[in-house]
Amino acid sequence: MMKQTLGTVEIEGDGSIGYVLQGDSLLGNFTVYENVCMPAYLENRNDDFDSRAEELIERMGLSGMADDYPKNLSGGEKRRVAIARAMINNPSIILADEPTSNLDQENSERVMEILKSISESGTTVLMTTHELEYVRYADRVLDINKGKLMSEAFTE
Amino acid sequence: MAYAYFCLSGYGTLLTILTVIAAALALICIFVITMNERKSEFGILISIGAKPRQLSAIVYFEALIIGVVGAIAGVLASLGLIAAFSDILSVYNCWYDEADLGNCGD
Repeated sequence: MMKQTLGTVEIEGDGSIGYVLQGDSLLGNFTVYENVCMPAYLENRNDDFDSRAEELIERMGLSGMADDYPKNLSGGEKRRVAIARAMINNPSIILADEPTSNLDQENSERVMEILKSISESGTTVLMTTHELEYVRYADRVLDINKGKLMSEAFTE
Repeated sequence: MAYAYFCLSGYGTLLTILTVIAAALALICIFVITMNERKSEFGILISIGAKPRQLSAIVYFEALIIGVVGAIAGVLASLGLIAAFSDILSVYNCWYDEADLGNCGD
């Protein structure tokens, strides 16, 4: 992890962020269910996050895979587990770093549909991508080149 | 049957200390290599909310488990080996027998 060299970030509300890392980011020694619950374990949450985890696994279309290990999942399934993991602590913002990288068209569309539905249910989704075909899912598009803001557009 | 007597003299003690140091260094090296291989796993944990002290706790707890299990396994294995070779290997401690000092191995 790198520390920022410049600037500050201000977040409204409780400021909790869920992070969908780029690429394969699941912990191989843990099941799908345990991976999804990991941020809750790390927060030492004592409330009933089990039902939230089950709900998220179902919402991601991974029913019946809760006890599977990451090595038995496809790339698209792994990415959806990572999104569920980012959602477990009910963050106000989801930060997704290239969530469609290394995925085929079908899986990419599915991931984008999920991120769109998360956004519509009231959680801000901030994602980076260089695949311009998925820009159509966004409400606001910022074009950044070599650290400089080139243009800004609202698609709706 | 031939009996070999080993004298736990100053050289024996030195040898024991060197063996312990070598074993400790080997353990530290293996542990450091293992931790380096798991850097990306620690990175993932930090990015999903793990605090540095939680990571330290994971590493120390693992070291503790490996240490305890390794120590028990090592002691049991050495007891087994000593029992297996007891008929040809007899440990004889000269320090407790002044009369035999200097006559070890005779």
